[in-house]
Amino acid sequence: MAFDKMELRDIEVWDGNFAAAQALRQCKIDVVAAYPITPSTPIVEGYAKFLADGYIEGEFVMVESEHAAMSGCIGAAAAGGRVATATSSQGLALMSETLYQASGMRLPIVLNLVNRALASPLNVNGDHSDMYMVRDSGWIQFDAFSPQEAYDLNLIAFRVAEDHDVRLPAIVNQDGFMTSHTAQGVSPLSDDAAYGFVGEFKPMNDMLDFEHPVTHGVQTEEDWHFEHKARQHNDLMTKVSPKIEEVFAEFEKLSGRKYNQVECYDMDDADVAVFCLGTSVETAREVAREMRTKGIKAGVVGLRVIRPFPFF
Amino acid sequence: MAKKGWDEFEIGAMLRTFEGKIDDIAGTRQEDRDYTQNSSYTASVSDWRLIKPVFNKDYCIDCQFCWVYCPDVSIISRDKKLIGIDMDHCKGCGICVEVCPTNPKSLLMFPEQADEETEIASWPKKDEEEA
Repeated sequence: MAFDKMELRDIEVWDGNFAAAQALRQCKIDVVAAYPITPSTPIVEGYAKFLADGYIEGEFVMVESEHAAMSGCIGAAAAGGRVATATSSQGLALMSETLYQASGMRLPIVLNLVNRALASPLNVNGDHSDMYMVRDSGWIQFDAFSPQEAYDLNLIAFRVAEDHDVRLPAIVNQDGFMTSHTAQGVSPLSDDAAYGFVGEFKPMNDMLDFEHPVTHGVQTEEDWHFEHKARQHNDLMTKVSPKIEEVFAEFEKLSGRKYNQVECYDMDDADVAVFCLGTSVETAREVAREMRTKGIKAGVVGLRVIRPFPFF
Repeated sequence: MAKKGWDEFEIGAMLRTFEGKIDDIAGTRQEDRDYTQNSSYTASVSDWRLIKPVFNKDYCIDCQFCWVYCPDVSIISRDKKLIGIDMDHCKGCGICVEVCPTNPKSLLMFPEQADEETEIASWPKKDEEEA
C-alpha cells in the first residue's frame, strides 16, 4: 500500500503542536502510543488524523494512561521501531517511572513535552516544572522557543537519539499555549528532505531479530548496577554534545537554520543579561533591544539543550 | 567467562540468550543450543523449590498434559514421550501432578529431600473408587 506524501508550502502557518505533528509524520514513525492531556493533545490528535487520512503507515496505540503510553513506547522501541509520543505536566508525572526505564534500557524514544505547570494549583498554562522534574532521568532535553524550532528540533532529536553511540531517549520541550497553540510562520522541509535528514531507522539489539534473541530490561543487583549507570551517565555526558553539534551543523546546511546548544543574543558587549528558556527568550530579546535604545547594554541567553547541560 | 570493564559491555539493560547467531531455534533442542552464561537456561533455581515432582513412567500414557501445562517448560519430552523433569528450573508448583489423568497418577509431589527410588517402589495403587 502506498502512503501519500503531503505537498507543503515554503511557509506554513502552524502552531507548535501542529509543527511537531508534521515532523512526526515526516519521520515515518513505527509506533506512537499516546494519551491525551492539555496542552499536548493536538500533537497526537494531529498525528492520528494523518494516519486516518492515509499519510502514515505506522501504528497509533490509544492507551489508558500516560504510564501505559510510555510503557507501550518502551516495548515498541525494544522491539526495534522508531517511536514517539507527547505529553504535558501531570501526564509526564505519571510517566516518570517509565522514563527511567527508557533511558536505562537505552531506547531512542522521542517525547514531545509541551510544558505546563505541575499542580497544585491546577494550571493548564506554562511554567517549566515538568521539564525540571525529569532533568535527571537520563533523557536528552531540547528546548524550542517557537513553532519553527519545535518542528526542527523534532527532526534533530531523532537523529541524535537514534545514533548507535548515543542510544538515549530525547525530549523536545515547547511552551504550553505560548508555543503550542500560537500559530506562526513555519518553513518546513519537504517530506523527502525531512526523511532524508532523519534517515531510515537502524535497529540495535531489537527483540524482533529472531536470529539473535535478547532479553531487555533485565535485573542487575549490586554486582552490575553501578557499571550500567556509570556507562549510561558517561555516554550522556561525553557522546551527546558532540553528536548534537554534528547534527546541528548538518541541519544548518540543509535548512539554513543555525542552532547552538546555548543561544546568545547581543551578548558580545552586554553588561546585563537575562538567562531564560522557551518563549521568554523572544520576549527578553525584544526588551533587551529596547533597553539598548536607552543606553543599557542588555543581552539574552537561551538554553537550547538542557540535558546534557552544555559544558565546554 | 572473560570479565569486562564498566565501559566495555553492551549498552542497555540487555542480555543475549545465545552465543552468536541461531538459525533454526524451533528445530534445535535445548541441550544443543549454544546458550550464554547470561541465559536463564544455564542458571539453576532448584533451591527455590520446597516439594518436588517424581515421575513414575510405569503409569505414564504420554498424553503430554504435564508438558503443555508446565509454566516453566520443565517437563522434558522427546518424540512425544515424557522422559523426565528439568530439576534445575522446576519450582515445585505441582501443576503437572494436578493435570495428570492416569490412575494412579504418573507424577506425584514429595518433599524435596525424599528419595526418588524409594517413593517409586512404594507408589500408590490404583484408586478403585475413582475407576
